[in-house]
Amino acid sequence: MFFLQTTNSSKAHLEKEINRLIDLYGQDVLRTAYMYLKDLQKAEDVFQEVFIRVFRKYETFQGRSSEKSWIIRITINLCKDVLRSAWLKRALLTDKPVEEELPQEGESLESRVAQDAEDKLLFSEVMNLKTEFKDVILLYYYHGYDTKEISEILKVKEGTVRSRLHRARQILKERLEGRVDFGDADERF
Amino acid sequence: MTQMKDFRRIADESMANVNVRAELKEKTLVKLYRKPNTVRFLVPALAAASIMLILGIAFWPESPQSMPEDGSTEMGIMQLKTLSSPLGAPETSRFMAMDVNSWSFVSVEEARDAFGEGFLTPGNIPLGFELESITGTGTEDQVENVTLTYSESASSVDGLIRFITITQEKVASSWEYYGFEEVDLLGYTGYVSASEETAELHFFLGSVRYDVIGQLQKDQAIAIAKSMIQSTR
Repeated sequence: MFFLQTTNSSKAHLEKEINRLIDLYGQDVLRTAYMYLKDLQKAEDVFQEVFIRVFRKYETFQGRSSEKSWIIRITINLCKDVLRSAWLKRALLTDKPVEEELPQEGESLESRVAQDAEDKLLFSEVMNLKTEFKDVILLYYYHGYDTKEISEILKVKEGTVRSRLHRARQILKERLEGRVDFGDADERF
Repeated sequence: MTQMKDFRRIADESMANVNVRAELKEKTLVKLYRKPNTVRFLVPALAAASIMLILGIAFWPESPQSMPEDGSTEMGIMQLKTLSSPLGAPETSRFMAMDVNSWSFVSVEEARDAFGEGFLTPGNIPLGFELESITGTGTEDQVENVTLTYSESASSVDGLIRFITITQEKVASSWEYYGFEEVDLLGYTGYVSASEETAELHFFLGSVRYDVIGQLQKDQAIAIAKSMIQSTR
């Protein structure tokens, strides 16, 4: 989807557009921010800043990428800014990985409870990935972008995206002791 | 075996409580019009004021009633109010015509003095939360709202540091929060919305709106609100 009416910069139009963008992408923005920052309050701060920037830069958006890609790129960059800030670094140092959901050895993996625990563990491990790996995993598996689109969003070469994806999958496989299926991804990369 | 192709569903289920609340959207939209549009709306305001002044001078002998009693500049701002009300929320209009200032207070007492009548001191803050910051915003030297931010002094068992914000903001009139549960707060109506991990509660006393928002239980938010009302008695 693209901005179609970039020449109309009237206040009413902008209001309508920002409302539309929040309704369409707000949830993705908030949840993406949450997955980076692991803190709802900070994610909501980023949410607000994202749409303030979208509002300010609205007229400069050229429609070269989809509007969602543009907004998600702003979100990721803002999250990285926040993560770089000294205050949050201190706060995050106290974070502990969520491990209590790990199914015990011998427990049936067929059961719903165990499956839920595995799903939560996967989510937790993705949340704990280093930023460069989290970038590609979230964009590929959460937002559904292909490697070319990811390279445009992150401003890195497509080959870099592929190698980061490959490495991220390896890390997740190791941390989850092989209990994650990437489908045919390993063959593709 | 977890399927990575299901990651979107898995992540969304894990973040079932992470949603764009109406309050967040409203705050964002208000901020949009506070920050970048100060200059944008100042220009037409001044232009309108100038035009009114010129017209006033030109027609002064014939129509002395055409000028507002409190001056042409105010007339410009009055006109601006009509132009710039994105949400129809009357309390935001004043911000748009003026520069927004922000303050950081070192104590609750200092914030109370700056805010003036209507400032309520919260009690019943959940155990483990400590006051982290007190900030305010407003126009010129008038503090229009104050936010007290409480954070957990230590991370919780799940590794996250939780926050509670209590905001007190001067408003022109009260309104209802549709879709929120109405609760009794010592005779006043509160509007609460809560999930397993978060809650937000709003209520009005006189010309001030109070918000209790954060990673807390609904009962905790209500207890904080009641303690604020109790502090007035």
